Amino acid sequence: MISIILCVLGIHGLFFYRNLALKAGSWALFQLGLIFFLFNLASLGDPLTNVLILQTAGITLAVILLQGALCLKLWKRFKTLDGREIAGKVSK
Amino acid sequence: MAGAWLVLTAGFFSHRVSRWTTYGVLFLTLGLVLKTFPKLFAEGPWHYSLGGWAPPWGIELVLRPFTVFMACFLLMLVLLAFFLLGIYGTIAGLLKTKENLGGPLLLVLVSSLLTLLFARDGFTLYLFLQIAVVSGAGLFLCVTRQGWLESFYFLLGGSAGASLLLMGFILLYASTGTLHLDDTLARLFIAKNFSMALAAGIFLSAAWGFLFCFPSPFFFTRLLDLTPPFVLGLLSSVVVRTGVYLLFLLVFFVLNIPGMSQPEGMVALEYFLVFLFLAHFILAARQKDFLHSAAYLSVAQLGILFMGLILGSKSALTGTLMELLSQMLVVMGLFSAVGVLSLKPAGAHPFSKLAGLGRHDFGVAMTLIVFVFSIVGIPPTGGFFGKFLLFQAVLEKKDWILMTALLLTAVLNVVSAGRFTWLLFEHRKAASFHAQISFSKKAPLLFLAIAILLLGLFHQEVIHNFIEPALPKAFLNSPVPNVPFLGKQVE
Repeated sequence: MISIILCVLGIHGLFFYRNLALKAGSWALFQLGLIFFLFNLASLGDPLTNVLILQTAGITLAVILLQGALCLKLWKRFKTLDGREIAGKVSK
Repeated sequence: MAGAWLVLTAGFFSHRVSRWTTYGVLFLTLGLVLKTFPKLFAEGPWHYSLGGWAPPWGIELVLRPFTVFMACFLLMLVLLAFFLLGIYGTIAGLLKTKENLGGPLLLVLVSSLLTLLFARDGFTLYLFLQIAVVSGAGLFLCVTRQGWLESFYFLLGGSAGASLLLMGFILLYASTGTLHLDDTLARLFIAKNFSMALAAGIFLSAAWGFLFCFPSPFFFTRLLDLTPPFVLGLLSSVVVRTGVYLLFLLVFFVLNIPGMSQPEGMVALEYFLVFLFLAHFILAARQKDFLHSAAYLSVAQLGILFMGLILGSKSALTGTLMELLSQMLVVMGLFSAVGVLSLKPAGAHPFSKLAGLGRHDFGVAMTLIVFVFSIVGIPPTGGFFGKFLLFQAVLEKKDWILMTALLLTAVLNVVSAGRFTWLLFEHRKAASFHAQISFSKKAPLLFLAIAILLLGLFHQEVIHNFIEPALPKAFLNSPVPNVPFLGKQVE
């Protein structure tokens, strides 16, 4: 149940937040939901599931770091993380 | 992937060494891929486990004639893109450090796409799709100025797509206990778990939504204006079309459980999506900007491929795969033409600048005609045979809705192609400015146009040797029925 809530929250945030950091956080929430889902499957005793949890967590961490670096760069440049505001400034 | 590290290291010492090392790695990979053909034709599919480990720690690769053939297309297109990257870098005054980083990122993109073509494990597909998205976003950063926001959105959208793919595979794993694609089908068949297969199918299809919309001007307007056209062409031809091939693989080799039928609502949604993609042909015809028109055409042509996937018969799937190969060349060709014919590295590319191009440079005008005729489906271009087979499939199935869509698309495209040809060869006294196009710039366009014609001329060989063996087993004329079970072929 927790995994479904996390995934739904993640998808909602991806579509509806304007703040880029919140969007990235929502994606991480979605991934967390998937990891929780795998945790539930791990109780079945298949060692493959543990490997999948580790790898998914690793990939999520790597990608969120990259997204964080891009957010930091945008924050330094535009002093905001509002997607529309940045797009407006870039268009000018 | 090892080549990317080598090129990155070389970039610290010399820009020139880095550049030639990238060429060397790409040519070496192409040579190795070509060398597999004799073994594939003699012994059939080639299974290889990287490091001898089973997935997901190791990577199991399966080389089949079609995937290897597609890999050759992919490598050739990447070579062209890298060649054009050099020209663009000089024109746009791109920093050498950025160009040095572009080579390794391109190699990472290539290796992840090749793995997507060869891997047969769900988690490996997810992992390498994510790597492809990261390297694509990195490539945008390298070739654009101020492209941080666009790269962020590409990374986020692509990662969300990869997450949906993982979601689909996890659902299948929960139901079957395996991530191996062949085993999944066998176990789903035994368990008859249709509802789980349908749920997984929705996620596995939705995963490609973001990439299939690339580079529609609806969603990527700023990216289109900032990015050099050949990078857009590369991504929309190789990344998007590899995605279509994987969708074909998932639908017909993983989720195609005998006895399973789709709900009517889902079928209606599939038809709606086909119409939605085909509607981009109308938008392409209304554009006054060459780049935006090429972007709409790239998205619109996906509708034809999806039509084949919906029909699902032997002719339809053969036509779809043939069309897929042709589209890879055409899309890259159109975007490269935009780049070669524009005077500036970025910005507007009005059609009016092409007026009378045929009188100024006949060769380039003819290459454009070949690309456009392939989209329309005029023989002997590669685009004709795919569309002909799809037309045949629609007639066989008596699907009048798709027949109407196909005919309307054909009529619209014939009119647009006629107008475009007239524009290229019309005589204008108020001559538009045409800069002299050097042979080195023209060469990629000529190469792509010749490849499209060769694909059409040798279509029988391509279909017989590469496409037919890639079809689902039900369509093969094999004397003994083979059922994939637990990764082995069991009679």
